[in-house]
Amino acid sequence: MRCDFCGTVFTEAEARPACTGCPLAGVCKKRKCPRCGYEVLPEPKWVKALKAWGGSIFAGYKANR
Amino acid sequence: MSASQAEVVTYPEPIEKALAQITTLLKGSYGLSPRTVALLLLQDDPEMHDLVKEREGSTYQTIAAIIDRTRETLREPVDEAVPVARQQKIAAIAAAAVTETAPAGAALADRISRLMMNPWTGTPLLLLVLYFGLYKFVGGFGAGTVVDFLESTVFDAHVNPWVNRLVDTYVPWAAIRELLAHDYGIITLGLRYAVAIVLPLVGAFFFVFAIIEDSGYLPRLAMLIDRVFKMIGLSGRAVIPMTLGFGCDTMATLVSRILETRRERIIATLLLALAIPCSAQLGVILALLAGRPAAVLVWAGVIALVFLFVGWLAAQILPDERPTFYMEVPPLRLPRLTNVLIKTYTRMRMYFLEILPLFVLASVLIWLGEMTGLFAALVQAVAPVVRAIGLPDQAAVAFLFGFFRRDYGAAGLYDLYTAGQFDGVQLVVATVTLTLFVPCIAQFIVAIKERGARVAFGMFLFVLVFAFGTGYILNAVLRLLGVSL
Amino acid sequence: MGSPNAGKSALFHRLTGTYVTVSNYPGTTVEVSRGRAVIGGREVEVIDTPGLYSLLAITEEEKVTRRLLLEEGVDLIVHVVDAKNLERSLHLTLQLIEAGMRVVLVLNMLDEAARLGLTIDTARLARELNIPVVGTVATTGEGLDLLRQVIAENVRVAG
Repeated sequence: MRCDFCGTVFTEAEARPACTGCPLAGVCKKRKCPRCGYEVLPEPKWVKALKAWGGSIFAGYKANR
Repeated sequence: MSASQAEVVTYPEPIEKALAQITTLLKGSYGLSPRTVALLLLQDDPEMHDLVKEREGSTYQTIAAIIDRTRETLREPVDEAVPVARQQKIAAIAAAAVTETAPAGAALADRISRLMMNPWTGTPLLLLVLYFGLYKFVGGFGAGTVVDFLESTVFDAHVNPWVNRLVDTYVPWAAIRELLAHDYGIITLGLRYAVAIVLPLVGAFFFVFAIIEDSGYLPRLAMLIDRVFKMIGLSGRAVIPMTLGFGCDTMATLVSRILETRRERIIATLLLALAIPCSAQLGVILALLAGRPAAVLVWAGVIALVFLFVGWLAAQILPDERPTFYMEVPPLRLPRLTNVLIKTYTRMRMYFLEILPLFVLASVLIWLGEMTGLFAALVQAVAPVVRAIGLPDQAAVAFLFGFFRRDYGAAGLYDLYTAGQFDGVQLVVATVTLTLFVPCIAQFIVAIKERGARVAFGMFLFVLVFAFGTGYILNAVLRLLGVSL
Repeated sequence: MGSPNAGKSALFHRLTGTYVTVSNYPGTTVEVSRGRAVIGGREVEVIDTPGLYSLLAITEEEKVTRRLLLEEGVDLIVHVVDAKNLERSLHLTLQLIEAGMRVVLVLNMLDEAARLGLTIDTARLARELNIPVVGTVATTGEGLDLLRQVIAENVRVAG
């Protein structure tokens, strides 16, 4: 994911998790940029799935060429 | 390695001579070319000196003598001469391989970027963004078109009467009828607020925010605010998290990152809780003020004053602040529609899942309060305060909602407004008070957890007094001046 | 290897495909990451070094990197530079060449450089420096196939 504030590219595992203390911390899917702390939205599952699907089609197309 | 490759850079004559002498003396193996080893020795690299002393034995003395002699003959220090020679070579290479053309797009983006961060041009630009993005789109389109349709056409004309009839016909107990429908019912009030008022407004807001986010405007906004505040001798540092926060938790964490001492953090948390409307509330407030430009100006002016107050206070409590706030600004880019839509969708979904249970719970609590008479008593208790700031008694209900959640309170105001309960001045007073008003329950819980109950309650009281105090003064001033907004 | 924030870690991650922390904290690639990559049909060990600006080691990270260079028997150095800061980065490239290392120069973040109006003639640069030069965009993966190919051509068979 890419931070919308400072532009840092980071992986989900690197991101700081939802803020401690917030009652919604358990369900909140937002991630914090490891550099500036800005909240970055996760990609919805279906978007990820769609991208993976699109990627596989593209890969198949490339393999076929 | 070929000789040509090892001699990439030609250094000044004395250095070259020393290099030649040292390289012939070096017998050990270093994993680096002798030329490099000699260069590092000439530049007094301690590690390399130790290594050579160890591996070359007595020859080291000879080498050391060469180094000393070179230093004497050379006009400038070796550690200057070496990089300078290298830089000349690099400049020649770069001149051959790099062409610096400013492509139209990049130059334009760069110009815009600079204009956005310059206080004189950036401030009007920010106002334009706020005017078109928030006022016109959220307030105009979101509130005027979408909410109007959902509120009057869908809920008022169809859903509510239908639900009321259905409940009246099939539910024999009055208490349950009240729980589900009528004035404060789960469906007729809770769901309606959530679906018909808050969600479309917040959605419109999220859409604009996603565009702003995707374009890379946010870091420039941060720089702008910092510069503007610095110009007037205030601290921009404390205000930046506020502007970028838009979610209470973000802002709280950012604040704790920037501020060191407990005292500073408490004051900052307090002021942030006071002055920043959460995004949902902002959406609804803009909707409320839509179509009354003068009212927007007064509202924005008061909030801006509070902002400046925060900056002033921060400047008092943060004396030894680092002089410049600097961050690398990622490039501006044209927002991608898919990105924007996905972000809007994600935020709306998260938001809706977060508020729906709360709105339903609020309805249940209000219902309980109604049943026990507690609600009426509370409204009675708050009514004098509300009357003191010049608002009709019914506004007390909205403020009670506001205790529960800021956006809920704003939705309550919206409801009253569409029912024609407010004139312009009352509207402004109500929105200002509500903006400054207490944090929602969630934020309050966080405050208790993070800062302790005593501090949290103290903060709560202060914000309450400050919000209504400001409302009171504003009302008095506006009435005194006889303005109608 | 390369200077801090040039995108080494991102590139490393791309090359090895194993899980590696891609960090952008200024100068925080303090630990050395190792990974394996199959390039040109051979398995190659790839080392991600801490950031450094010069062979003249000043910081702890630079010392670590230099020690790595001297002690690991490195076959090929992939010097990753931020294309936006080419001139500053070439100092190290020249030092590496001077030191007799086999170097491939990777111009990373070419997209951002292009946005700044910098056009870099990689072929010309390769001729001037007499080493292979590859342009990449580590975040999108552009130029990586070419980099793999160049690495395959330049890594000596072990031993």
